[in-house]
Formats: sequence, structure tokens, C-alpha cells
Amino acid sequence: MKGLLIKDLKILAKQKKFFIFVLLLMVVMSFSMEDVSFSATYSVLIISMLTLTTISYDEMNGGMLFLLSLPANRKTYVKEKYVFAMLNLMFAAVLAFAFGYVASMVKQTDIAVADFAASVMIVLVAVGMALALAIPVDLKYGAEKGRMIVIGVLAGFLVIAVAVYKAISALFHIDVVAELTKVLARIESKALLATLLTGGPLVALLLVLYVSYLVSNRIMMKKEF
Amino acid sequence: MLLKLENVKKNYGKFELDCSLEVRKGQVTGLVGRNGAGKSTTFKSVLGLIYPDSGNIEMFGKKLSEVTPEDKEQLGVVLTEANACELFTAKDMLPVLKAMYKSFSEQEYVGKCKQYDIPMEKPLKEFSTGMKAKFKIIMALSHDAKLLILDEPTAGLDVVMRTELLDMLRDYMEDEERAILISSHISTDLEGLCDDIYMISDGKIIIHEETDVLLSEYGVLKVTEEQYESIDKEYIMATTKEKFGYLCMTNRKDFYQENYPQVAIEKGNIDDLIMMMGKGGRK
Repeated sequence: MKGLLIKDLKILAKQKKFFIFVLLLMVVMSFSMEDVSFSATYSVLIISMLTLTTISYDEMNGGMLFLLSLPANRKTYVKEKYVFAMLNLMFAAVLAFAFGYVASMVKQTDIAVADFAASVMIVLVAVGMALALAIPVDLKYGAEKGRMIVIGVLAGFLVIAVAVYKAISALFHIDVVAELTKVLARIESKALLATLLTGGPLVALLLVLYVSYLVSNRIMMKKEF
Repeated sequence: MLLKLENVKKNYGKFELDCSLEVRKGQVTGLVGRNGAGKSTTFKSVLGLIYPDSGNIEMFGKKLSEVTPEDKEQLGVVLTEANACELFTAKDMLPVLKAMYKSFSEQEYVGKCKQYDIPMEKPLKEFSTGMKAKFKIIMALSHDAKLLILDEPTAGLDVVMRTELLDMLRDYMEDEERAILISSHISTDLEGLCDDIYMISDGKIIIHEETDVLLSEYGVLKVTEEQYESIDKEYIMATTKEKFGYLCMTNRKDFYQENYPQVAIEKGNIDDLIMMMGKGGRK
């Protein structure tokens, strides 16, 4: 496991140009826009996706044959990939916060910490969920095909979600978002509300990642190379 | 016994593997056969990269399904198709291998890279075929493995490099506790290295023989049509039709030398075996 983690970190370290590009993009975006949270959350999105980049490098040139001939079995490989994905998500979040902090200092604007944290967290959870879908799909169909499938599924999901939302609004004449906001507004304790809003999605993400891990394990155990 | 395959079967529709073989301590066992004969399928089965439909595989005295990653530290593997990440340099691979194998020797790894002209700082994608092949073997040899599994390790190497590699393998075998399973399409590599040789054709092991026996007792008879009709064919293993008559592969050269002194008999070698015992040639 440790060996595989070092391998993935080394792959990340080889993406120097990519990181410089992301950093430049963040700087440019945060200065051209009022709000620094957009560039920060955007970086979370693309850095987290690097987990998938490591899968595509693993697959290249018979890389999986090589890795599985080392003292690492299929289970260790899957476990490591999820550990790495979570570490990478955390790294992206820390980077986003650090960047947000520095940018607000430089621009001498106050950022609403709670809002900033919320937007980073929303993206983090969303990207984590997307990874939970993408990792097993990539392992099953290969990174190239997997990417297309994941984009397709996510787009489909978005279309369906919007359609369901509109259908409910039209049929029952209620706005789901407004109703939910009302329900949440009834919670009087601010602390409870904050815990619900941050803890809830994080717990959901961990659950989804765990299910995804189990699925990936099954896929890898069945796969022939 | 370090490795044992018993009736390992894998069906791919048109092709079916049905392989039994053994690799013993202190021995170098060769696996020969034409392309597509089942060599790689055998190697992949041994490494658990594919699942056989039936049969048993034992490694280090354990069922393959019970072999742990710790057990796999005793294994050094080179597969033709398998490669480390192309972005990496030999230097990048060092901490990865060090974390994988408790008995990894940094000194040996760095020393061998230097000895065989493998640059530490150059990414693998810029390596020549020969350098890649050498590097794979260095990786397999740097952690005191008990068993080496080498699928075509000499592919892409020139004569000088092949000799170097075979010397590396001979050095490795100085420890009697070790063993090698090796395949190669360059039969002279195997003739000088292996203690015994398995020949695989169409997924099946058709010959298993000690290399010495193979080289001393196997032979090729060159016979005219009339001679062919008259000779006893009991020890003829394969026959091919040629312009002048027939070529016959025998595992009892002495029998024909004694009984048919007029027949031209050549010493057998692995190439002849592959050519004659492979598809179509068999009796």
C-alpha cells in the first residue's frame, strides 16, 4: 500500500506544469473576479480529478500487469486508490483555503469565512461523489472510455434532477428548494443547523465512497488482465 | 517445490490452455513454444492476473489464492507486456520498490543500474528497448527473490546484452534455494541456462525433458521416401514433409543410429523441436 501511495504521489509530482497552470489560473481568476471562492472551488474540482489521472497512468503500457506482479494484490490496489482519492480531496481543500486566505489578504477584502467554507465544501462533496462514480467506472471500462461514461452519466443525472424539480414545481405548485429552506429555517439552534449542513453532506460522501469502494473491489476481483 | 501447476485450464473459445508444470528449488525451468502457444497465458495464471477455469496452482507450497502480498515479496517478475509508469525514472522507482519489498537492496539496485548503463535520471519513455528490458530485470533482481518468473526477458536485447543478462541469471542461481521459470523464443538462451524444458503447443505441454537429455538424445532424421517407409516409427515424435523426403524428430537418436546407419541424423535442438512439434508438424 505504501509503495502504491508513493507511486501515485510521484505521478502527481510529475504534473508540475499542470499545477503551475492551475495556480496561474487561480491568480488570474481571483483578480478578475470579485469573489475569490470561485477560483478556489474550481481548483478543488480539477485537483481532485487527478486521482483519475493516476488510474490512466496505471493502465498505460501494461502498467496494471506490472503493479499486480509486485507485492500488491487487487484489494490493496483498490484500497490505496480510495485512500489516495481522499488524501487528494483533503489536499485540494487545504490548498483552496490557503489560497482564499492569501488572496483575501492581498486583495485586502474580507471574505465571509462561512460562505467561503460552504462553497468549498459543496464542491468537495460534489467532486467526491463524482469520483465515487468515476473510480469504479474507470476500473471497469478503462480510463479513456470511463471518462466518457462518467460525463454522460453526470450530465444525464443533472438533466433528470432538473426535470424532476420542474415537474414537482409544476404538478404540486411548490418550490422544493424554498420548502427545504423553510424547513431548515425552523431549526432554531444555529450550531445544530451548521452541523447538519456540513456534517450531513460529509457523512453522505463517506457513505457513498464506501459503497463505491465495495463496488470497485468487486470489479477488480473479477477483472482479468 | 516452489511452483506447481496441475491441469490448469483456461478456455478462450478457439484456444484452450491445459498446462501442468513444476519448478523446483535450485532449478532453472524453461518454457518454449511458438507465439500464441500459451506461454503468456501460463505466466498470467501463475501470477493470478487471470483466473483459470480449473486446475491447481501452488506457489511456495501454498494454494495461489492463499498467497499473500508478503509471500509475493519472494517473487521477481518480468513480463513482456508489463511496464512501470513511463513518466518515472530509475530514481523514482527506488522508493516505490523500497516500500514494496522488505529485503530490497538499494545498493544492489543502484549498483546494477550503474553496471548495466541504466541512467538514474532519465524517464523510462526515453529508454531504448534494450534498456527497458535490462531495467525490468534489475527491478526483479534487487530484492533477494526466491523465484523468478521471466516471460521473454531477452526480447529486444542484442547478443551482448543477452549474454550479460544470462550471466546475471547464472549469478542469481548460485544460491541453491532459488529457482527460475523462464520463457524465451531464443532457444540458445535456454539451452545454456535451463535444467529442464517444457514445450507448449496449442495450449498443451507436449514435451517435458531435462535439457541434457534433450540435447543428447533428441535428433532429426533426414530420410528419403523409401527410407521413411522402411524405418521403425516407434520413437518418431513428429514428421514434416520436405522436398527430398521427410524430416523426423526422434527422442531416441541412438536407436536410429544403431539400426539405420545409412540414415542422416542431426543433433536435436530446441529450435528444431519448436518447428517440428509446433502446429501441423506433429505425427
